[in-house]
Amino acid sequence: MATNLVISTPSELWRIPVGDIMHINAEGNYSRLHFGNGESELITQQLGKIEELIGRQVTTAESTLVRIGKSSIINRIYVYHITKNEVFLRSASGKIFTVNAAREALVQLKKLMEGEKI
Amino acid sequence: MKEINDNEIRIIGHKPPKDRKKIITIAAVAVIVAIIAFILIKVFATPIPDDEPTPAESSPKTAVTTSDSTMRPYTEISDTTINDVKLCIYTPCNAVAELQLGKLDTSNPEIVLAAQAAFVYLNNNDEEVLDDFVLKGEQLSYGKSKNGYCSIIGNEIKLGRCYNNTCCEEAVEGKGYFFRQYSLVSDSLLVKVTDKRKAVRNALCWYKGNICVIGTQERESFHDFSQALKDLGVSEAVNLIGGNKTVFAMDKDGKKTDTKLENKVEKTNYIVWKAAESRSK
Repeated sequence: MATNLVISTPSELWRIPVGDIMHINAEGNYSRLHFGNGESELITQQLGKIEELIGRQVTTAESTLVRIGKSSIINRIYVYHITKNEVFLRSASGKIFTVNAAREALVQLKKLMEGEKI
Repeated sequence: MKEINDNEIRIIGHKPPKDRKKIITIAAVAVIVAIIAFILIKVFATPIPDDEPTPAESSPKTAVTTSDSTMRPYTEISDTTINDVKLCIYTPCNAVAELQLGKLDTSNPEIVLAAQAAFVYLNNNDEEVLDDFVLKGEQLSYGKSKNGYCSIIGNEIKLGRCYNNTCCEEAVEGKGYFFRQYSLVSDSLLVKVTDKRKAVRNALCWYKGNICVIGTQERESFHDFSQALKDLGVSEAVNLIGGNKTVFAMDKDGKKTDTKLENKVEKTNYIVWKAAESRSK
């Protein structure tokens, strides 16, 4: 698996270890990338474009990143709790991140994660 | 990229391309294995023996017929079934063989066994015997379309396979008889005959050290008939004209099997067994 993801925009480039990404949220036409240490970066790319860039660099078999609905991408290795409306992510340092998602999407995420040991 | 709804999720990533290197390796190994297998088969495999003997000629089977004037000639008739093929075996006893052209006189008490021998064909409204045919040293027709033959010289009767003139010339020189027919069994091997039609079949056979006539009781193909003869233990067999009314035999008690032989054509020819003293001079 690629250890670093390269996210390139017309003006910038990020080279980010996959393990550092907690989740990415859509913010209008931009996207906010949240790191495990609590920091975040605003990327001037739509979430769909970022998904496309990531998709070219990793295979589905090795990827830990999951698109949930229109607004979020999460790193499922950090998932520790899924409820009806939210999914909670916990970083290595113990910091908790909350991602809201549609109920049906979370049911699917739950089913996906029931069958795997990450 | 495909649009996504809020109710959906999907794992981000692309499908891995098929490992072309692996596929090429497997294909190369398969090709090499196939080549090695082909070479091994070519080198070590023994060819399956063909049913048809490879030599064009076989060693002829010869029987010497004797006729004791003090003993009455007759035909020993027996039935048997081989591979569901019902066979009738006619073994002439105390009789000698010769060829005869024309109508058979079944009322002649000297004749104990007769069977139609060589094929004839219509030529300008006249029937002619096909292939080499020798009657009392005179060659009446020529041709070698069939590889089996029967020659009778004196008291000696020969069955075999031969394409050349030698065997026919011997019959001419020996003032004997000769005709050609399909070989069905040669040196105990099956001889392929392409005709697949069914009919009541007859053959002149070398069986248990004697020459006899063996016929089927029902319609059979050449292949089934030949196979039955071979399985019976016949080591040499030459076809005779088939049909229900082409064999006449008289048993030990003087009982005749069939007196209504087909005599439609003048050149119908028979191989006939009779007492030696009544043989035509």
